[in-house]
Amino acid sequence: MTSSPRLLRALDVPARPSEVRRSGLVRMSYQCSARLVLTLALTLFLPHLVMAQAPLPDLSLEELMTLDSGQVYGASERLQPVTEAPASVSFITADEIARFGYRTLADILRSVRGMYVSDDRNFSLVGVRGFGKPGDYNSRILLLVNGHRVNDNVFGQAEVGAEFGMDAATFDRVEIIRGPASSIYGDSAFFAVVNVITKSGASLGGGTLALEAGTLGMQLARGSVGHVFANGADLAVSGTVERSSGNSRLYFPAFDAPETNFGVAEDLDGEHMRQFYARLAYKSLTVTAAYGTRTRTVPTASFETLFNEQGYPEQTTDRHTLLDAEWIRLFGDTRFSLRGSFDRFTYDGTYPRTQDDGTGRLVGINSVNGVRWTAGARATRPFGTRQTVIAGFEFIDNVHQDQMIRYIDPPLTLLDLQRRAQQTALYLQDEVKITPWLNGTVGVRYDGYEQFNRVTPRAALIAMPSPRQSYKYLYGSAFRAPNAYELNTKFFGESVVDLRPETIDTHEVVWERFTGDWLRTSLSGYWYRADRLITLAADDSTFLGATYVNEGEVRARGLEFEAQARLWRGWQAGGSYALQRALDRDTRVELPNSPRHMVKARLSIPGYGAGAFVAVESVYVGDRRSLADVNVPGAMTMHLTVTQPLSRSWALVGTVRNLFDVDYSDPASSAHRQDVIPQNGRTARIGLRWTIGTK
Amino acid sequence: MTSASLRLLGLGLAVGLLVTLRPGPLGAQEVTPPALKAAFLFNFVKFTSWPSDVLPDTAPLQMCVVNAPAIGSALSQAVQGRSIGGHAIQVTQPGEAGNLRGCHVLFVSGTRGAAAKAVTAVRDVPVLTVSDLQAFADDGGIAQFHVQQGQLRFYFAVNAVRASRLQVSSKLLILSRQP
Repeated sequence: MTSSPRLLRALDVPARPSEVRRSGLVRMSYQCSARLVLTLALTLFLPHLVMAQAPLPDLSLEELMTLDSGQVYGASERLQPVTEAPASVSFITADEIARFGYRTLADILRSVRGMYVSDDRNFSLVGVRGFGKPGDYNSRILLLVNGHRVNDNVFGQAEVGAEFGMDAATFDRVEIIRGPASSIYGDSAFFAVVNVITKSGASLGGGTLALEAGTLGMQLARGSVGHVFANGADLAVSGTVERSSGNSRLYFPAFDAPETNFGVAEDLDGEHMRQFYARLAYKSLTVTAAYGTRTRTVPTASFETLFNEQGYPEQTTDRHTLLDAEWIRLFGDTRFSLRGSFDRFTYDGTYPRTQDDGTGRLVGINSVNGVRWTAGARATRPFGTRQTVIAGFEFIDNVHQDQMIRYIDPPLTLLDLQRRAQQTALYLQDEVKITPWLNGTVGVRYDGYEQFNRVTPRAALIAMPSPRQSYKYLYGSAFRAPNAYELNTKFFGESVVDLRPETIDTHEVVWERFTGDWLRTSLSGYWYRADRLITLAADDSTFLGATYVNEGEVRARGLEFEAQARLWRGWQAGGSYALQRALDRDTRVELPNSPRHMVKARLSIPGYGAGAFVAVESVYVGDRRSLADVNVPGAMTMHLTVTQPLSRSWALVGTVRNLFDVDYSDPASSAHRQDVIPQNGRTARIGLRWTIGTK
Repeated sequence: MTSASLRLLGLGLAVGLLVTLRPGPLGAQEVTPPALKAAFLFNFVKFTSWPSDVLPDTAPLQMCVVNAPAIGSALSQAVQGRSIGGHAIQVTQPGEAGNLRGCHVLFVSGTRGAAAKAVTAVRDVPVLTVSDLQAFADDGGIAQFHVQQGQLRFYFAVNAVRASRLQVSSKLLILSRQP
């Protein structure tokens, strides 16, 4: 009962609740559904493409106020036009989240150019720029809530599925900032930064109650209130409970044997969530509080646990607590921000397995307690009309990075490891208008850890021959520090203390263009080299029989195109294409779980009456290789959401995901006996929403 | 269900969507910030009246833009071929030191110091002063842009409006949002 790679959390992969096809329903071949999508798109789209939207000056003030201002915060920690930001940026608004029926951040990221999300029926793993190694947690993207880091301090993981602990209905906006951004944010801003901006009382605008039910025993209740008081205080409060029982039978061929129930996992696909969110803004101070917990039963018997175990099923619980206070004031032209935050992440995993001698069951509980305090200060100051300087300081005290492994029945503690670590960082960025049409940005950040230091630069040159188009050349470097999990000498031996941050250097060229007032297009090409990637390697001398080394080197390049159009009569359409190729430098072999092609398209059409919408989305992720080097065929899935107000205060919302019941799978990690994990077939949910107060 | 019936379903859906096609509110779209601000400025003019001594009938309406070339050119484009209440619209970019007293609308950006200087320069003339600087209303300006939830909002300082001899329609004041 010693070596237990099965208790390694870092070897398993993220996922979202899902469901699997019911037999009897027709499986659509993807060619057939592709044809349908094309038909649909052409029928709906073409006649209207030519009838562009009325010019901006002819719109009323009310109409203008519904338009997005095209500004991004997270690229430089200040609001700036997307065209001037030193990154290739996309964003998803609250309107789009509602219209397209997105329930989690994972749903949102799936819809975004160049990103893909794999689901192992427990966690959701984000792949970006061709990098989505199965078995890695999302430690190479940085997840921010209102600009504040929420990757946990043990695994360094950005949780994006239901495990994230925040309801997508409380998101005002999600900014996706591609490319390295360690020169502002430090650790983990490796491939991309995802900044979730949460709703204020004004944007919640009154009270809402929502009840939803769906296939796979899904039920949801949400209540939220937003109010702006006469004294200017703005309050938002929201709470959600959700559960689903999942697929009652899931078949995994890898377990098809008499002693493992012929590969069928029965009633082991359920999850339940509770989420709470509050935000209070008064004068210069904004306080945000959030708590979320998700418990999921895991049907895949990952980490060599018992298959179809009913007594102590494999199960994980993730809990996130966030308390964040920010105070912002203007002194002359200088904008000062002071920020203090408290984050807590706890995790419990139940892992049932057989005793090593083959007799009886042993139930392991793997727990994590991560607590972090952060204090930061930042100043943003324009110098004349040509320069803006941002300077910041950050201190992070990871007061707990604790890990514990114990067995229940009989109780036995195997590991009780308590650690603490501190970090300090300083950063500086200067944006200069070199000429009226040429901007330059240079930035650098110093990160001091207890074992090592990092200095990370960034440079950007942005040419804007007119306000309607920009050409960007972006250079960025980033790092990911070895996380507390990887630095655990009890698991991986003394050699891990010598682990150093992995690094990436990225060059990118972007062309963004607005055509008329109705079309935005963006074309970007990138090239990166990621070195000293922290990789798991076999090592018999350690407790887990493995260790981490700075070994992997990856070279990749890619091309991405995106178009968003505001069409006639409130129609909106968007599409993107990503072409990418990520290679292991030594073997020249493409990385596993790295699709060459991705195509995404969306269309939202006003329905009957104000506030009524029909939204269709289709996502194609191309062929990928599994860890066992087997081809995982590409799949096109389509989702439909209909929003129909019934009266002034009642509305009906229905979503069908995977409309054509396409059969597809995601590559599994080495923690799974399965090589691929089957994904849900068609699922549906319908909800009733009652709103009081005006928006 | 056969794949033929699914195709039919798809077609039905397409036709259904076409039939339900109706005008609706605009949603989250992307427009350049300068173009958007220019469109707001143009709309402000629609709902503002100037005393006839500074804006006689048929006289051209002067919109001045200081320290914001992108907005200046977006505004020139926006007003092209458009007039308001019989007034042709002229857009100029006079520069900080230029004469601002002939402006009817004055958009100023850059630094607080420059904005405050411009406001002082036109203090005794009815000029609709607008800025996208955060503390503009505190510094004596009339209207300021700000961003809320990714959307552009504006705030009209009522006291400054009263002091200005401008008549600003209640529509603007109703839509005005405190930053």
